[in-house]
Amino acid sequence: MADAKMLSVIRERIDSTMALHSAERVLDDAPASIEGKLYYPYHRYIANCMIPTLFGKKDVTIDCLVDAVHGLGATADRMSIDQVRVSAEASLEAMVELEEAESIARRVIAHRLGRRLRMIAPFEIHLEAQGLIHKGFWIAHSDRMRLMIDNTTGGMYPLATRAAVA
Amino acid sequence: MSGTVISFLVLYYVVVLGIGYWAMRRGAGEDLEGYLLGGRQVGPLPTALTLQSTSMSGYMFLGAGGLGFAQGYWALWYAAGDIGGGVLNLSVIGRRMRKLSQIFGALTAIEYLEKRYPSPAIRLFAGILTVFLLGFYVLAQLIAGGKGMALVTGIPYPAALAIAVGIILIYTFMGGYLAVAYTDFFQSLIMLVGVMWIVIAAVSELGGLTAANNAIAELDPTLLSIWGKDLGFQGQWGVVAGALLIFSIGYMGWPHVVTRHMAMTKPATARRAGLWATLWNLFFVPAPYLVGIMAILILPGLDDPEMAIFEVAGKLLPAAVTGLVMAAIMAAIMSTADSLLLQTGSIASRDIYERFINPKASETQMVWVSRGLVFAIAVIGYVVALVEPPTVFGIVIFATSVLGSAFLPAYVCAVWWRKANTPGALASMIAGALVSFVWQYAGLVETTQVHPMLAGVVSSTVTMVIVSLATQKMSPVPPHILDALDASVAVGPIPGRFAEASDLSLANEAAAIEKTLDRGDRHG
Repeated sequence: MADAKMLSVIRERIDSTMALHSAERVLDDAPASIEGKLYYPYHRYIANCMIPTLFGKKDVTIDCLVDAVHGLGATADRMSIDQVRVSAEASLEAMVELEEAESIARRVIAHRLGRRLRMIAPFEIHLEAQGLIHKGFWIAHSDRMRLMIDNTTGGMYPLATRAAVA
Repeated sequence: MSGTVISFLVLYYVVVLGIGYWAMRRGAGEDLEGYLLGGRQVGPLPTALTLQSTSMSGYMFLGAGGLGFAQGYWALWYAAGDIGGGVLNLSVIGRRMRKLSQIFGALTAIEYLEKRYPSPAIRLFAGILTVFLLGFYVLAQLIAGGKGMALVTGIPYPAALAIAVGIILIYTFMGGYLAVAYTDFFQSLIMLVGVMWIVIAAVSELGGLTAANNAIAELDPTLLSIWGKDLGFQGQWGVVAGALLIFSIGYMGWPHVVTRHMAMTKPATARRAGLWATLWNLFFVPAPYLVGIMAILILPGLDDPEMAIFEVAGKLLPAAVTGLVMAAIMAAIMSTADSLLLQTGSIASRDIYERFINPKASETQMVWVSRGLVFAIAVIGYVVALVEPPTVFGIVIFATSVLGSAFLPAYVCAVWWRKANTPGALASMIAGALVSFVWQYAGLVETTQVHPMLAGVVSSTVTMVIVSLATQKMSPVPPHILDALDASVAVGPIPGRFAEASDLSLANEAAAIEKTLDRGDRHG
């Protein structure tokens, strides 16, 4: 790997064989193949939240990922991180600055807590920036279409086929 | 009500609070975090039951029964529309709205409208109108809560109303009622079993449905007709169509309902939950109307028809069951009021205050704006509910007709019509709200024999089409929105199994990965 670099990557749970099997299953058992893997960047925060309740305050810790390409935030399950060496071309570039990401994370967490706990309250949220992390997506294709598979959750999504499929 | 009823009502709340305490002390670790993250999915059945029970408002328990008591079987027109409304809503706009809102990065249904129809005027008008109308909807819950509390406890209505309003405010402000994660399902089951028990007890009391209908026919045969008491709505298809539409397509225009699409995960899960919800609706939705109809015979001298379901329960059910069922119903009303207040507060703080008044507002400032508005709604609601309480049915029909008329074309065209533009959407919202409002208050229903919902939706739809087409050159839909619309549509012909299994939360990652791949097959 001439232009290889080290990335912090969310631990892979779906390997290429499992990804291929999942792809073929949803493609009505049409033969498919794995083209490769792309790494998508997120700013990761660990949020320590103090939630006021009828029975006193409750301390809760949740993860938040801010999509470093589009600037959209979402809360996330706890995750393990590995250091992985990948070719420079295999990862997408981060476009969102850290300061902006923090503000997005704070907004998303406050919104999420209010909605989920059905309350209007000033939540105390302490954010700990964990830096840029990446998630791997398997790219697969059949003769009819292309799709990507989240290598952590196994979630799938169709891809437009403007990019040539071999 | 007897001491036994009150004892079991108290017992119910003690159990619910106990679950809350347990959740706090023991289960609040990883389970709570999982719940907050939404990462741990419950199955489609609990999801559907919880959603349906928490959306059952004071209308179902008071308005529907009151309508059945007053109009007989004609009331079932409203139930018929409601049965399939949720699935229709999900099918028509659910998946596309989910993808589009994610591409736009919108957190609220009003913010989504502004991103699709870019103009501050859209957000300002939609925000103010929604806050105003949800305020009415909350008023209906306050009245329902107050009336129910008065009947169950025997406390005079003004004091019962104050207690109900107080509980709802505590629920909303202090909240932290961690038990919501655990008790919604429990509450929905008690409510379902209880309401079905009331229907069966009422029908049994009258010797079966046929005997009951024969008895109603002897009393007043027009109550069995599809045209209402004294055939008051005979041939008025415009009114019937409105009654059917309000809870069927009307859902697609309610910001507080369509916002649920924005959190949808897999279409397959949503579809299965939708099917369970329809099954629930099939049994549950007609039940309060039927109880109201049966109450014509069981409680002929009923002073307040809207109390039919409570009174029939008190008369026919064992005292312990009455206490539990009433507690579950009261909890559902409080919970609906709480949800509505949260949405109203959120729209006021994010979509109006932060967007137009103080863009650099801190989260604490926004909390105080929300709380201030919620408190004001509660106080105004208390005064109105005390001085001259309107019927729950009247308030809900007013608020939902205007909401549906104003927003239906805006939400539907947002995902289905590429030419729907900002002037069209704004004009459509204004026309729909205005026509529906004037229709109700100028008494045009009687003179035209057309329901305000029908008049409003036709007006807003026609306005959307005409104004959008007329202003295409002056105000074309921006290219980035057209791109987002293209991206929100399924990518080519994909197998049905794949469409069902797609994880919609990956739409943005997919868009960026597509661009990367288009630039020249890069990956490791």
